[in-house]
Amino acid sequence: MSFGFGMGAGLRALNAAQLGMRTAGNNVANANTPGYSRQRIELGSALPFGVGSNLQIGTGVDVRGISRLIDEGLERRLQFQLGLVGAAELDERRYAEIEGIFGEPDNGLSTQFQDLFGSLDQLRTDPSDRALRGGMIQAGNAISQQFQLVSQRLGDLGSSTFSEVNGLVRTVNQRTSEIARLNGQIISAEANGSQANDLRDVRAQHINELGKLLDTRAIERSSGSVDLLVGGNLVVAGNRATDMRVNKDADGNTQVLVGENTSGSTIREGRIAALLRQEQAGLPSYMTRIDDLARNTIIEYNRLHSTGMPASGPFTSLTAAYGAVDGDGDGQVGDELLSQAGFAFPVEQGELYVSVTDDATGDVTRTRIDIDPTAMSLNDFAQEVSNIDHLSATIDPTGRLRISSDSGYGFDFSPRLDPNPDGGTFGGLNPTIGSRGAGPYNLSGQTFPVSFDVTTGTAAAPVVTSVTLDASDFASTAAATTDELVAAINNDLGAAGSASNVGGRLVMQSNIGGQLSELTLAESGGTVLNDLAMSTTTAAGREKAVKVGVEGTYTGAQNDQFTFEPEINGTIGQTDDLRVRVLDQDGNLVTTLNVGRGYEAGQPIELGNGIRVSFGPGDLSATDGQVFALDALNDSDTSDILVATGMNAFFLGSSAEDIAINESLLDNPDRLSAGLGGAAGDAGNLTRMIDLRDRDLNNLAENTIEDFYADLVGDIGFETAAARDTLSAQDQLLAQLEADRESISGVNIDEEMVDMLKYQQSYEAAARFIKVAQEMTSTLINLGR
Amino acid sequence: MPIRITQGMMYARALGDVQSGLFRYSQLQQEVASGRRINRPSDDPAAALRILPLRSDLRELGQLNSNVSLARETLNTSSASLEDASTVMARVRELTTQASNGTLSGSDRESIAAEVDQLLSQVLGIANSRRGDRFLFGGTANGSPPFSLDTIGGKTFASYNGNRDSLEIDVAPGVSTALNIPGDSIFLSRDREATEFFAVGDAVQTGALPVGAGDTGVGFAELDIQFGGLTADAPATVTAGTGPQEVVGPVDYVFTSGPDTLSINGGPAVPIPATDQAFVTADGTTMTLTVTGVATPATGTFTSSADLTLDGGATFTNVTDFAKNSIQVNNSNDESVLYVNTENLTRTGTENVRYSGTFDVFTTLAELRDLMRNNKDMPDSEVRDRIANLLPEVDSAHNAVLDGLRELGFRSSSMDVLQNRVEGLRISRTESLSLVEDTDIAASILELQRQDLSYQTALQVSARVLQTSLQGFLR
Repeated sequence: MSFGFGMGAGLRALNAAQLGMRTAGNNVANANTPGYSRQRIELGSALPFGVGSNLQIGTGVDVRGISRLIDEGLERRLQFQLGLVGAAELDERRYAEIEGIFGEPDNGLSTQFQDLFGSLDQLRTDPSDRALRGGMIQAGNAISQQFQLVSQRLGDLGSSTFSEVNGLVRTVNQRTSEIARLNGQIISAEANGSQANDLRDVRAQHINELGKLLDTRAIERSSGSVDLLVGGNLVVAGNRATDMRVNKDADGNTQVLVGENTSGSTIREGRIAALLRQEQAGLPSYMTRIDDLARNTIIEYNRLHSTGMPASGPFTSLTAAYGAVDGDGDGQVGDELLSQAGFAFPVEQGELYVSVTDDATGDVTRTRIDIDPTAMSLNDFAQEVSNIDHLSATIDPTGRLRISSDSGYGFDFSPRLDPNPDGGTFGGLNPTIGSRGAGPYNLSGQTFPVSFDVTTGTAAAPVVTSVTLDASDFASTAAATTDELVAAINNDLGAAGSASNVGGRLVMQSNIGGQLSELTLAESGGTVLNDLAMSTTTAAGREKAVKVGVEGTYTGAQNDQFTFEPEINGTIGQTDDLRVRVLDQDGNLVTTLNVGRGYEAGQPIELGNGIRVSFGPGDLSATDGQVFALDALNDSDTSDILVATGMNAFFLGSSAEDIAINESLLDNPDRLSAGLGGAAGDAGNLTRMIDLRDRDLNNLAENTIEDFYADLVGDIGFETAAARDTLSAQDQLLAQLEADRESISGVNIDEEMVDMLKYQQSYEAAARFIKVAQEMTSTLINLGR
Repeated sequence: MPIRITQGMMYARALGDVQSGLFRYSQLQQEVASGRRINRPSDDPAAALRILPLRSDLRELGQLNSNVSLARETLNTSSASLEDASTVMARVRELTTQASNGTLSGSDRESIAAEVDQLLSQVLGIANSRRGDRFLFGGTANGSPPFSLDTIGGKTFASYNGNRDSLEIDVAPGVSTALNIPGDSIFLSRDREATEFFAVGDAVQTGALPVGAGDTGVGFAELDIQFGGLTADAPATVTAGTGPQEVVGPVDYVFTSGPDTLSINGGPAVPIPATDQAFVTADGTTMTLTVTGVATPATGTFTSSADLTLDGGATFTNVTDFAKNSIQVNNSNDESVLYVNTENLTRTGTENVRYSGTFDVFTTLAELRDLMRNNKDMPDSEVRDRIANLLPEVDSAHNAVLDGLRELGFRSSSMDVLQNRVEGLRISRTESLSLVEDTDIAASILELQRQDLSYQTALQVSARVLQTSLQGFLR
């Protein structure tokens, strides 16, 4: 037994109490340090000491170490949860921004659309009012600007993704190099087997912060270092960190790469993942939908506007807004097929009706141009327009089509009804004989060449002309078309008369008119007139023409051509049961009009489809096959060539980014095509534009414009609300995990207080023990004196 | 084992509670302050989907409401015009009655004519009345005056330059109404009946008859039937002479020889040859013929053609085939047509044509004025008779105006019904919208108070709890 033995145990106890006190102090000091895990002093009894042969006595207390109180599994869950919260936070922020960009329900496109429709409604009450016109054009302007604003801000949001990701990746790199540095410190600090508790806390804090940005996998090595992987690539290995970088992939999407890797790393969680997801899926879908809306708004309004007519009447000159591009690079524009001419809107297979008005007489001549975009170039189209009397079309060096009319004439593309559809084959002065049916005619029973005689002139001075038809005149004699017959007959008839195609029927006319003139057709060796369903009775001319007038607006849904023919011979307003039959283009009876006894000549009769027809006084002959045809158009440009080239457009541009009101309308509101016929109060075109409000558009998934937009806004609302809900759910989970962590690793000051009291008392007791031991030693020493 | 609680947890919880309390508090405050539950689509996406269409509807209903007012206003303006026209027509009736009174002299009627003329221009002004820059009765061609009067050949024609299209505007969902009545249906309203020929005074009838259908003229007209020359079937020795020509139609002739005479249509035989000799028929009509050479006894028929004119000789219709029962005669003045039955036509002369049922406002007034002026120097009694005969026409023209008034009144009153309907729809839409997007103020304020209380409570409890520490007791 030595004197120092008891002292040693006391000293160890003092030490342990002191360390315990300091640990508690450290815990209290770090009670509010983020990421700090409380520490605890680990005590054990010191190695016992043998006394005698069978006794062992304790030698006091040993401080085994200072440990960190953490739950590794919980730490990992927390780290993962931080990634989810990071992504949810970003999603929520982005969606709130998108929602703000659309500005609904108070300051968005919905209000602008309401303004536009409202201004249309208002303008309809007085279509010639300049101020109201200006208001409607301004509404179009405002809607264009709003589209552009939304598009631009969505675009900005999209293009900010790259810089935002770049900034976040810089933070990632700072963190990873810090983690690598801490790894190095921890390795050297723990080389002696101790725990570098505070360094580990700092490192864990960095790893957590990293987890908010992207998802990493952490692998703890036996050396105490932690390796980090991002998408399978090591970014931290021991005390070395590899920087990450950002670039754009082939599709222009932002990607994040590790070190010198060439392919982007897969990032599933965290803010960066959320940004990348938004860039690829969220934003583009809204961009596409707003572009679709703008594009179809442009198409639909331009379709209507281009086929309308301003109050000033028909145009004398129009220039296209868009030019054809030189697709084949031969230095010439206009020679490409319409389908390849680079127009923003497609030209469809269809037809365009061009009306030319003679200013002096008001007579309208309508010409139909068939358009096949895969077989027709812009040059060909211009040529077709130039072929129309009094019109000329040119293409300027920028590929823009320009149509102008001779002085004294105007042109338009309106679907209005031709006010004077009878070209003289129904009520004209010249004797007429028409076929009783529409072509093509079956002439296969004839032995070609086959002839018939045409007698023109007067009874006193007849002129006989023989007309010969050859088999070679027809592509198929079993289906001789009216146009083939017209060409063949006119070739032989010369100046004596003429054949024409009226609503598909072959009609022949003498060249002179009046009461004395006559026209007789007679077979000569064949029965071709019989096959053509033409009368061989002499037809007489007239002293006074039967004037046919047409008014109203066709309300049918499809383009049609109506053919009018008298049922019997008689005098208008006089003959009992004199009726005019109206057939549609398929030859079906639409209605019969009573023009006999009881009908007041010149009074309009309703056809039941918005069309009113009037017949002036005079005689009609069914025997002669008198006929006239009336084009009834719903859409005078089924080819959309006017939309594609931007003729008389309302909107310019082709997407939300570049939609704009046609400036010439802003400059001169009188150019607004409010009507179809040019009368001051004509609101025909406005009516069509108003009807657009309730029309389900094919290209907008059978939605109206407003519904399509409301759906878009609704979806944004749903997504934003969902992002907000997700964030709050994830936040709650995080809070729960953090509470769990706090429960294990957090500092409870009361607890530390108790510890401090404990260690204080233990210290006091140990000191007492030393004092007693010292007194015992003194007693022993005094014994020897 | 009970969960271990630390100060950090208590701080965090207290902070979280106070925060969420404050957030809900501020949300409620915004709801109450803005009066709206939904300030962003994400506040309630399902409701946002309903809000946009509802607002769009409301906006449209607002426009419809002002459209209805505009329609009523326009219709009332038109009504006021027609009421003026009705007043004019009532005055015209008075004047007509007065002018047909036997005690009036020609000059008295002359002065009444001046007033009628005044009324005519007044009614023209009414027919061309405007609201703002738009002519009320011109259809959609309302930028220029729809009616004009032209005098051709002493006769006044009214022409309508407007169209028959309506100015349709929407006045309720799916309901549109025309703001206008095309003026021709009021001021040129006709109900054509069979045309009549009538004689003036003791003038002789020509035998021509109206076909009575298919005619397009209006008011009165004069059909002049003149000698149109002999046709090719006349004997070679007979030509028309210079002198009165009263006979038209088929002419039966008898040549006798020794003495050489010619008699036509059973009249007395006249010696021939003769130059510009008057031949009288059994009916007492005269034909001047020049007969050359000697006659061989013969009988037969030749044709004396007739020239028919409605426009004072500007254009003629030559009739050679008198068996036709419908000859079309054109009037170049107004492009109208009259069909004449010539089967019994025997002599030249003038048929007064009355296109019954065609007396519209303008025609009636113009004809009245012209009659009162008596440009054709008709006897007093004749003028009076004809003026008296126009009285029913004045009434029917007046009725056309009254019909127009009734139509306008009907439409105007249906505007009241429609306005109620639109207003009702507006209220119901506003209610729906309010239900969807507005804050339930009472509930929200209660909730606000509740939140206020719980916020305060959270603060107090936190303050109390956070103070608790062992330290405090160990002092």
